[in-house]
Amino acid sequence: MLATLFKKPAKFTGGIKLPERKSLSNGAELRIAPLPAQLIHPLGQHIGKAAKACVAVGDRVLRNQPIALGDGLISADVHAASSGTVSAIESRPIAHASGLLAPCIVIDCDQEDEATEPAPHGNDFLSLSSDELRGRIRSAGIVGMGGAAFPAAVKLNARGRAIDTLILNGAECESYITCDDMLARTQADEIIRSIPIFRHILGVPNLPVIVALEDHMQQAIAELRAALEKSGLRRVEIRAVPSIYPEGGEKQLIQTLTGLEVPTGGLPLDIGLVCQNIGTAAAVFRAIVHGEPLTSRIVTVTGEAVQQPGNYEVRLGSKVADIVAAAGGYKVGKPARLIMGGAMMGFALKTDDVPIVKGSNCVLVAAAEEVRPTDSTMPCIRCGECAEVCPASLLPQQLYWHARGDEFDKAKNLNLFDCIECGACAQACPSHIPLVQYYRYAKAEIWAEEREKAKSDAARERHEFRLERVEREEREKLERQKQRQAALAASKKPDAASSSASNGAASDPVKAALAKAAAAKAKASDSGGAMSAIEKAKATAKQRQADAAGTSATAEVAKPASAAAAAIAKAKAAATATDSDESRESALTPAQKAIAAAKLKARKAAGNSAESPTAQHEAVETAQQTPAQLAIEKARAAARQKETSEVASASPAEDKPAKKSLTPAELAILKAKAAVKKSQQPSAPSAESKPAKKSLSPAELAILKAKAAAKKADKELSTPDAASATKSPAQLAIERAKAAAKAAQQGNGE
Amino acid sequence: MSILVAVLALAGLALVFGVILGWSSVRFKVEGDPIVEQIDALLPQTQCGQCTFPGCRPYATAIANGEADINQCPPGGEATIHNLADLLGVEPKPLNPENGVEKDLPMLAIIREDECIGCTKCIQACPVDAILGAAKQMHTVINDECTGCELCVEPCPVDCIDMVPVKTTLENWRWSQPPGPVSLRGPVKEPVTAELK
Repeated sequence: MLATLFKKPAKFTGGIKLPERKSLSNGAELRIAPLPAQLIHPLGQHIGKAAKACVAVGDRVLRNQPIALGDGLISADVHAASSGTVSAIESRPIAHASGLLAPCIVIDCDQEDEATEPAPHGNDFLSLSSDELRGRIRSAGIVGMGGAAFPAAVKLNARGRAIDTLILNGAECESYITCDDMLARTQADEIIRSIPIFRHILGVPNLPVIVALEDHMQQAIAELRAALEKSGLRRVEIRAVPSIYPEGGEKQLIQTLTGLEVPTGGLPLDIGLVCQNIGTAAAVFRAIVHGEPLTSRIVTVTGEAVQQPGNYEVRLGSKVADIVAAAGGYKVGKPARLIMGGAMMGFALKTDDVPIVKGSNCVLVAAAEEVRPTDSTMPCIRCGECAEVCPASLLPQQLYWHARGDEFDKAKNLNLFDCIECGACAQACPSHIPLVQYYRYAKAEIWAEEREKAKSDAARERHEFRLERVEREEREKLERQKQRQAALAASKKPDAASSSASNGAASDPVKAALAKAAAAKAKASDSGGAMSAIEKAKATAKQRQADAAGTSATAEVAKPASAAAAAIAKAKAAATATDSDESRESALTPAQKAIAAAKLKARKAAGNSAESPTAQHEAVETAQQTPAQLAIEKARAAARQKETSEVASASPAEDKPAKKSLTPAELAILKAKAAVKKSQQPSAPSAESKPAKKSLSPAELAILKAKAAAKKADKELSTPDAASATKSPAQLAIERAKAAAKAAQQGNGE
Repeated sequence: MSILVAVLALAGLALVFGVILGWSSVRFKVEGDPIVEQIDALLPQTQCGQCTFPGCRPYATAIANGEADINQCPPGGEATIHNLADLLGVEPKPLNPENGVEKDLPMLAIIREDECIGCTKCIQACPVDAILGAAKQMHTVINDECTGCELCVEPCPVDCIDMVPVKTTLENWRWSQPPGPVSLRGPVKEPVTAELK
């Protein structure tokens, strides 16, 4: 590997010779821009997650004070660049090609420039561990200052890989920009003295280091050589590389210096290299040795349309307008375009209100003659110039056609993502096609597609989970219903015995009525008469139909149609079932019909009250006809429960009346009588509930029902032998009734 | 004798191949219909039901069974129709207007929280459980999970749910396609110039 370092310098493929235009700005000395009145610190100045503000509006902050802390691994802290008061934390325009706003912390400077106590620092960094040093770099908010703004601490994590060369990149290849040149001229000492820190962090004491500068930066090279001699460091090489664009690109510089290529989708770390910008190196030195976070940087202000082009030491957060003012302002009538970054990779700003951030290396105030008019695009003549200059050995022309035709898959297969967007192809294009814009567009579309895919996968998962949950809930509901019925069957057995015993005593009129109703029902169902058989068959059919309706409604719930709609469908299905039943039940008395209807509706109302007030309301409309019918319905409900218990237990007490073999006609009469009696009896003792029943609302109905259920359950509990056996199922029933009542009440409350 | 050898040889071969085929039909059994999975993967998963099927998967199943056409998905729009046509080897056709129209921008449901009465109807309607809330409590939409299906809008008794276009942020902002050459596409748009003070 070492041998590769001493080989004749390889050249990266492609590349283009650009007009340098560096003399505009590198002739003047480094000047310090005055402290602005206001600083704007965007929370996201780096690649990765935006930092989180840790100050509030109105707080006084000092220079170097952290005002936002990195969020997650790939993030960086933000520090106040001067003292002042936080006047706002809000969205402001930032330096981004989109011209969108982003959250920023705005500080109104008090011009005192008071700084905090410096963070722990010193020359004894060798006593600290690699992780501690990286932690300090991280808390100093240092990111790659060549423009990419990738958090430096993350890049310095070797992750157990063997590092065999460190490259400090000062090869500033874009036209106009001279800030790294100026940095090397003025802070050569700091750059060289950062080398031991990097070596210590990377855990290789004698790590070979190459400091690369372009061959035209003669003064900077001399300064660095002097600083190197002074420091006495060994195995450090200061190398001049040919000035050819994009020499300063990380991958291109690596290829020039070592002859190695960074694999597709890989990192320099994969081939044992770490590459840092010299600006980052100087910032790391200041953070470790002086305890200063990153709050200022050198920015090139240049172009034909600015009065005094040159390099300025600028506080981060200063507006572009402020530093242009520091450079003497715009030349009258001249500026055609304001560009952040270089002429090749920079982007046009829509306003000069945007702040300078950690990665801003240049503000180019271009005059009309410096920019290419955008309407000069001509059709592609397939000359192939773009492929000649592409530093990534891609096929720019093919990529262009695919991007233009929205064939992103094909562009991706031609390694679109290896494109570094250097713009050499667009520069070489004789038809002035904005090729890089096409690649950016294609990349953005592919990313958007990936985001959408991820989102739709998440939606599918959530939807499937929801379906499963709805199904499970339905199943659990059915199970609970079954459980309740079983519980009632179990508790009804002793209750029936006690009620028949209390029948003679007639202590409780309601109980008596219930018992009578039960007796009537028992007679009807057990008499063995043709009538009862028919009725029984019908009841079964009805039940089946209702179940079927329920099932179809469940299927409908699976549709994303609202649950309410499903409930309505269910109610309607049930109603149809009732209708057909009624037509077939022509032999029955009208009273029975009403009872049957009420019974069904009541069941429906109880079942649906929680989900659908509409269905309940419908049920109530029918059930509401007379208070007497309501009472009948109530009694019938009890009778139904009795029926269930009969089926389950066939209690001998109930068999007694059934033994009287009646004719079908007699049975019908008896039943009707019982029904009428029932309708009168309960109304006598529960006089206070009668007026309430007259103005029935769905909620009240449900409450009434719940009360009845609760009372019944109480009775069951009061039966000594039943209490022990059926306590929990009875309680369950009470709870359910109460819940249903509450739900109905809420539904009604709306 | 030779005929016997031939018969035995053929019978033997038949047996061997029969065993191989029988074994592989068990070993490489395909569970379910993979084409449904493939179709489902192309659908946008908004679960909006505009295709007249209760969700994307039922629609995918219907397409696979030939019961539905490929042009019934308005949220997927043109792109989905093309993808489906590619997958199924049929001609792409324009979106069926009966199912709805393709929206220009992705939408998002927003609950005006001051007006929400906490009825839970939208929660029950949401196919992806993207609405949070409880009875009598204010509800809100989890923006990242909302598919923009609009199913929650209709059930709301107080009409406090709005469909708004998804905001462009730095995360979802995209470069636009540059204008083509002058001679092929006519005049290009004005260049973006700096508005300098």
